[in-house]
Amino acid sequence: MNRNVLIRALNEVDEEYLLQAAPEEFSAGRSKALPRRWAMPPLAACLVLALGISAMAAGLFTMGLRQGEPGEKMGIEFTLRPGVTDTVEWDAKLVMDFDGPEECPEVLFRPAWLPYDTRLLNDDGSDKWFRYFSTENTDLSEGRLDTQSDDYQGVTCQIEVKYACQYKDGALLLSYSDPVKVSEAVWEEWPGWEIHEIHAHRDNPWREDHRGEEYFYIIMFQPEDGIILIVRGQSGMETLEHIARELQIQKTGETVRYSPDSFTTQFIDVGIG
Amino acid sequence: MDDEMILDLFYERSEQAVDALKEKYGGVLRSVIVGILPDKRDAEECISDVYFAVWNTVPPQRPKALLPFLCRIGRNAALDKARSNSAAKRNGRLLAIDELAEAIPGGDSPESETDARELARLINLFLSRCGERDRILFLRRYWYGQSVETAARSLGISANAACVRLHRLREKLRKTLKKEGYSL
Repeated sequence: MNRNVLIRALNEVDEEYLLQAAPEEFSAGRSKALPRRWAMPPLAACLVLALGISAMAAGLFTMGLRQGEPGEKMGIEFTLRPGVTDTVEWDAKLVMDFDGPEECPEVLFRPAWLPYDTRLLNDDGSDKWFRYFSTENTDLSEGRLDTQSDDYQGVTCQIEVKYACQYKDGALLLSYSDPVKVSEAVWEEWPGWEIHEIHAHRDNPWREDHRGEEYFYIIMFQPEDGIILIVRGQSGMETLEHIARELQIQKTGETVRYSPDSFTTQFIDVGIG
Repeated sequence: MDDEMILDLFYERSEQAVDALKEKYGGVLRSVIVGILPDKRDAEECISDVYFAVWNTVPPQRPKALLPFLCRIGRNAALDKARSNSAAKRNGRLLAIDELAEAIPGGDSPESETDARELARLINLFLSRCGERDRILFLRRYWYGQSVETAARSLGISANAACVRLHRLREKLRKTLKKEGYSL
C-alpha cells in the first residue's frame, strides 16, 4: 500500500471515531474513555448499545459485541421439512460476532451453586453434566431440575454452552420483543474469561400494573477455546453472577466443528432458548 | 470554554482565540506532534505553524468538532515535516503507518485522489464494523501514533494482547478492502 494514499485516507476518518479514540490525556474536560461500566438512559423501542469487546487474553478466538447497523438484517435459515428451507429475518440489534479457528473443544458444565436448593442436582448421586440447563420445566431442557422446587417459581435461570466456531459466518443476537431497553452493560474479566453483563427490560402492556419485566444476561467468553457460556434469566444479576462464577466445566475430549450447514445465527433470549 | 465559544473568538478575530485553543487542546496537539517529530525544535515550529493554519482557516471554516480538526492539521503538518527528515523512518509514528501499509498489499501504484477517497470510505466502513474497543485500539495506534505499549496500557490490556488484536484488525481491514473490491 502506498503510504501517502494511506495517510491521506486516514485523514478522512470519521470525527466521531477520532473523538471516541482520543487518548485520555488528550481529552481535557472529557470523562475517561471506556469506563468499565456504562450506564445508559433507556430509550424506548431500541437498543442503544455499541460495545466493542476484544479478547483480553491472547487467545485464539475473539468476540465483538456491537449494535446492529441501521437496516442490518440477520437471517436464520431453518428446515421446514427435508429439502425445504425457509429464512426468518430479524433486525440486528445487539450482535455478537466471533472470529477464530473452525473448531472448539466440546465442554459440559454443571452449576455448583443454585439459589435455594442445590441438593436437587445431586440427590440421586448421579454425576450430571449439561449442555443446557434450566430451572424451569421445559421440554427444551436436557438438564432441568428433575424435582421442581416451589422455591423456583419465578426464579428463572437458563444456562447454555455455545462455541465461537459455530458463528464464524454468523452471529449471536440478543433479541427480544419490542419495545426493549438495555439499561446497563458491564464488561469485566474473570480469570480466563471475558464477561459481559447485560441488564435489559421491556414494557409489559398486558400487566395491569404496567410493570415491565427485567432480563439479565451474563455472556461468558473464553478466548482460549472459543467457549461461550450464557447464563440468563430474571433472577437478578447478583444471583446469576453467583451461579456463573461457580459453574464447573469439563472437556469431553470431542470437538465441535464449524459447519456452513448449521445455524450460524442464533438468538439469546430469556424464554426462547 | 466550550468549542463553540472558541470558534466564536476566531470568528471575531480575537487574539484570545489561539490562547483558548492552546489552553484547551494544546496538550493534545503537542502529544500528536511530538509523537511524529521527536526533535523539540521541529515540534515547536510545527505547533506554531498549526495555530497559524487554524487562524487562517477559521473562518471561513467552522469545524463541527475542534479536537479532530486541530489534530488533523497538526498531524498533516508533522508528517510533512517528518517526510523531509531523514530520521523520520526511525520514529514510531511513521513506523506505525508503515506497519499498516505493509499489511495491505499491492500498494506501489501512484497515489491518486480517487484511491485515497475510496480507501477512506472503506476504512470508515471497516471502523464502523469494529467493536468500540477494537476501533479505539486501531486509531490510537494508527491515527494518534501511540506505541503498542501505550495503547495497550490505556485500554487495560497487555502489549501482547494488543499486538494480537492489531494483527487481526489489519487482517480484517485487508479482507474488508478485498471484499469491497478495492484493488489491492
